[in-house]
Amino acid sequence: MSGISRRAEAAEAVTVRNVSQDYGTSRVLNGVDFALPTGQVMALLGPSGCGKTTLLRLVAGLLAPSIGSVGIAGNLVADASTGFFLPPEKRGLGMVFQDYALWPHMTIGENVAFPLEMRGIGRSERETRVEAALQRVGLGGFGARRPSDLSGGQQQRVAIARAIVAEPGLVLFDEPLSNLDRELREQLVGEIGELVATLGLTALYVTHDQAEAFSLADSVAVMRGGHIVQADSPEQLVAQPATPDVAEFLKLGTVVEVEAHGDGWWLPGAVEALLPRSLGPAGTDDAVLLLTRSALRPVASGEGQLQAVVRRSQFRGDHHLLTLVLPRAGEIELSLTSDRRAQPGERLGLALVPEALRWFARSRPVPVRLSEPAL
Amino acid sequence: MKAGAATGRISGTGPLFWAVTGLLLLLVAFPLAFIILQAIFPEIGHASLARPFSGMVAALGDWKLLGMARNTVALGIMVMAGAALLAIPLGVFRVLFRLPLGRFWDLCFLVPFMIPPYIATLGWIMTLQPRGYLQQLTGINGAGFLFSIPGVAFVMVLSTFPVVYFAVSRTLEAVGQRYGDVARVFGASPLRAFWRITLPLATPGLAASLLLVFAMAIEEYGTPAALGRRAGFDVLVTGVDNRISDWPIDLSGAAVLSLLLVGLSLIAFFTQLRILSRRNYETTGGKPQAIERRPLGLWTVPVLLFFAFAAFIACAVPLLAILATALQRTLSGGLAFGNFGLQNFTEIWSQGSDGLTALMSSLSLGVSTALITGLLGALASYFVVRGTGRGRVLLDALSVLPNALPGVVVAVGLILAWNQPWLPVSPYNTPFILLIAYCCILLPFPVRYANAAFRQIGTSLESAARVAGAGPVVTLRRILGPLVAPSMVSAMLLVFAVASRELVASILVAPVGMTTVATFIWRQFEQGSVGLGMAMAFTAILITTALPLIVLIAMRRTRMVL
Amino acid sequence: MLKKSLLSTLVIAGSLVSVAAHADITIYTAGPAGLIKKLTDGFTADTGIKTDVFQSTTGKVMARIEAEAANPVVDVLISASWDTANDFTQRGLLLPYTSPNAAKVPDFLKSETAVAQGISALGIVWNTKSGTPKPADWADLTRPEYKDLVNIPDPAQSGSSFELTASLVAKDGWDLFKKLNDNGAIIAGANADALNPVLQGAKAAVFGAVDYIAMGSQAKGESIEVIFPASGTVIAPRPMMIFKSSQHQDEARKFIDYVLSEKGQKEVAATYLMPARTDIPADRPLISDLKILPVDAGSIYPKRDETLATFAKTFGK
Repeated sequence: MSGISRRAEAAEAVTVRNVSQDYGTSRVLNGVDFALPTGQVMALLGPSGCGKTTLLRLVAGLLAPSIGSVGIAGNLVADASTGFFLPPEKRGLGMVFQDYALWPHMTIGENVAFPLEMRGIGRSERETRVEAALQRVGLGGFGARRPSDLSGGQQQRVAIARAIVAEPGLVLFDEPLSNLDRELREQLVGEIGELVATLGLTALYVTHDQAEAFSLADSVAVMRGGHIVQADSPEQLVAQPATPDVAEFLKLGTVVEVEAHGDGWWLPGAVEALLPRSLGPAGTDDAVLLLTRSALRPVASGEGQLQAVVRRSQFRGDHHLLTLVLPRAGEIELSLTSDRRAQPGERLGLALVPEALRWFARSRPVPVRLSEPAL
Repeated sequence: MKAGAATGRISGTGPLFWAVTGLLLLLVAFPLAFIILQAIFPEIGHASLARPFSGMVAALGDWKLLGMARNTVALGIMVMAGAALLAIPLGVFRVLFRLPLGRFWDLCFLVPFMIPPYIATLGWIMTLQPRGYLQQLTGINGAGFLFSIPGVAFVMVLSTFPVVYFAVSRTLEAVGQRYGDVARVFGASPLRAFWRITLPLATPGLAASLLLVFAMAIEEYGTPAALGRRAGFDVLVTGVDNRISDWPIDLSGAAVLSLLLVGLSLIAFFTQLRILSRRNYETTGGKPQAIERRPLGLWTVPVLLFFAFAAFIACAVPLLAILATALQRTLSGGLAFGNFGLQNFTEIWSQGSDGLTALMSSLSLGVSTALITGLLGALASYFVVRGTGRGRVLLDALSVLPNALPGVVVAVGLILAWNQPWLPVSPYNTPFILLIAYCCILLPFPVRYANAAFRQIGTSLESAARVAGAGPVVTLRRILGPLVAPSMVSAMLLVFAVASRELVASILVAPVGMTTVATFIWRQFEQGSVGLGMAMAFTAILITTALPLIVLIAMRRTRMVL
Repeated sequence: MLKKSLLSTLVIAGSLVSVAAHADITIYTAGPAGLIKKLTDGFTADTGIKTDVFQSTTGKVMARIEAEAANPVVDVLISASWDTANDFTQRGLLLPYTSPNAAKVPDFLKSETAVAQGISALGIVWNTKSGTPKPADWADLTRPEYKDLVNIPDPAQSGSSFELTASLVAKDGWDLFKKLNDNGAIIAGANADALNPVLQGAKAAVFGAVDYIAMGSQAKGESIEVIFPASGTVIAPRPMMIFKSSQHQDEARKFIDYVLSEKGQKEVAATYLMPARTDIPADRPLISDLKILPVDAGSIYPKRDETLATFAKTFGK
């Protein structure tokens, strides 16, 4: 290990360079590259099986990469090309697990004190810091209890306290809220957000929940099939999804494949064009179109560019979510929000907002866009 | 491969892994290798490889072999069936119904496991033979039954059924009544729900325990030797014993028969593994849940009588027979008031007596064996359950192989292996050879317990410690160790109880000048001092049962034992 | 927990080492446990030579010697069967030695390489409370009074039982054994397995039990009696031998001398064995009091397997 090869950009809390990971014969990560600047939170977002937890375990040192290198705080911690590997206990991390992973034979206090003990911190200082950490998560005075005496939410708070008590340079969250019910989840997202902000934590946060990712992270890396498909700020992701897949996963609207015939864009099997040709990209006959919710505005029947029939209407507290079909333009379902309830079978006109349409090239592999997160 | 090498480094316990593997190779593979060599080369004991396979041909050509093999399998099956018939109803009533004195019955069914089988057999002989205790008390003579093949199976069922009882209770507790209740919602009667749902769910655990009973039955020496011989019922173990204790000695014949026995045990063992790995509802069910126990109602009294009967024949009869024999001044005096006295006990407890020395040797051997196998078993199991890489398979095989090695095989293998003149140092003819023999024979107990315990601990508990800054050894010591400790304590107590009265291997490998409890008892019987032997047996049973029980009751974990 | 158990293991292992004290000579014996303890204690007290003893049945002692053949441990062997001495002599494993104390041992109880420690005989052991008439000869046990009440030690498991069987067959044929079988006598394992049921009264008599064990039990108060049949029985001299491989031959010789000394022979007599020396008194019938059946080792041992097979067939095993 020469000093030079070990160095990475010091401003980066985490750098993952061209990392691939094999389990037996199957490749679960394929050429992943990203960097997380100090002081920021990055969410790894994706459906189960996309490799996001594997990626987190690579950073934690619970796995060694098959290919590529990982750096933490400017120091190389794993490099498959040289076989260098720094075990997890030498990486100075905090981590929160999906199943809390509190040690059942220790009290809450002993659990939280463990990272301090491993760092050789004396008893009296340990006690103050443990109590402070427990107070931060709203569990002051719980130190003498057993993990089994606590509810799921409380247990996860203890796990969070354990992760931050030693003030690690990097905290890893592995789907920390997926075992909790929705109400508790929303509450804890808020609390974690607050903690992250007040402590100025650098964190990697694995989740399959878009709302969690959006509300906590400075940048979100969307993962599919062992790749990072797009890494951007939440706003940028919504405004500029890199691929139809990302758009679909983020539920930004309806994704359809369209073909250009004459002066219109058509859905397959339609009797009427969906959109005028001029709204789409020039120089191609086919494309993938994302109809975001804000791209369609309900108007009275007979008005607007498109005519739709309401299939169902669901009240969502502050709006109604309508599911529509376009009888003449092709058998696709669209959803859009409306401030009034509609009856199934009711006819509606739709006005197009061209700026809110997103076009993607079709049938060709879309070049993966790996933008650095916004600073 | 790079990935493999890197993963090895994550565990960071390489030296420990190789140390454990090395120890197991020494404990298990080394003596077994010499058994195989002996089977092939009859002159290996004279450090010569002459006449390979001649002994094997002779032994396999013996027409009696087929009969012995058939008898062995038949006995195993009979004992298995008997244990199932007795233990399954007991287990079902214990777990699914509100049974009075539940914990007491658990304790009762622990006791048969603590009585050495050869002693229990002698107790039964003293009770049932003509003019035995039963005839002296009631006029009934049960000799016709006892000295028959069903008699052999009966006595062996009584010493092995607790394995099934505790397995059934544990599995049913894990499976619980839930699924059966679902069936009742869909219209099944309680009995039907039990037959169609609850029992099938408990089957893998049950089948595994029955196969364990099968393995125990085909390896047992004392009972078939004492009862079966008279019924002309020779099994492989008695065949091995005949070859090494009857003049002329035929070690290679014994080795061949041993390997046959090992083969049978291996079949039973792998069948058990297959059943457990395919569908084990016990582990997927996770932690035992609170079970809604049904009231027994009108059935309370008959069921209690059934439990009392089982406890009486399995536990009280042998113990009382042992005690009665120990307390009689002369056997020919019979159960007469004037014939009772404590002189056999005073003889054992008198200062500097051989009995006392034997007791101390056995207890310290028992404790050492328990500690070593506990530690080694836990580590081996850790690497097998949590490890990666190829070395793990070897370790797995080594740690379960002794399951298939009868004591007599281990003993002969140890002598052959450790008495080679080229060895620079050897534990042979020191007490360590006994320690090695016991560790080899009993290692599977802690391994089995540790495997179950490690599988129950989520991997994230370990990951959490590593991320929090603990190295692999600290993680093992601070996190995993304490979590598996309760299971390991149970396993070690069991090892202690069995090791402190092991007979078959002790007789053969005990170093010169050293007597253990079992060899002391056996020698007394050989010399006609049955009462003294039984007094020692009773003392040993009392100590080796009471000690673990006190610890277990303190830990409230009696049911973990088997 | 790891540390603690490691520590205690070491402590206990250490205490085990101390159990295995170093000794000068190693004796393997199939003899009575009490006797060898008294002999070795007296020997060590007289000479300062320490001994280690492995005591078991002849079969198990032999198995151990066989298994150890590559690296023998044994210095002195005391067996219960003269046949083993012959076998080891033929294989050239024994050290020739004639003890000065063997002068009073009759010639038929010693050879170049072996000398008797003491002699046991086989007899009928009879339970006096069994309600059966006292037997006087082997054939008495075929009478209806003893129906189902006779145990016979297995000649396959005991050298002296085999010699008795072979000698009786050589004299009178298989008739006696056929009648015994018809009368419900059973083969009951080794000596102890045959004797113990007689003590409790399950059986009335043992056909050919080792006498000194039964005499010891009788002395303890058991209501049994040892009867030496009028038509004759066999004796089993218990040979002592020194192995050529011994590293302590001088000490081994001294041990043989001690056993054959007056003191040693009195200990032998005290366990109800007949002493090998004719000048030592014993509180039991001696060879001169017994009628001894002729045992032609040269003719019965070659036919051992055949005899045992016929015996097993006779008793339907």
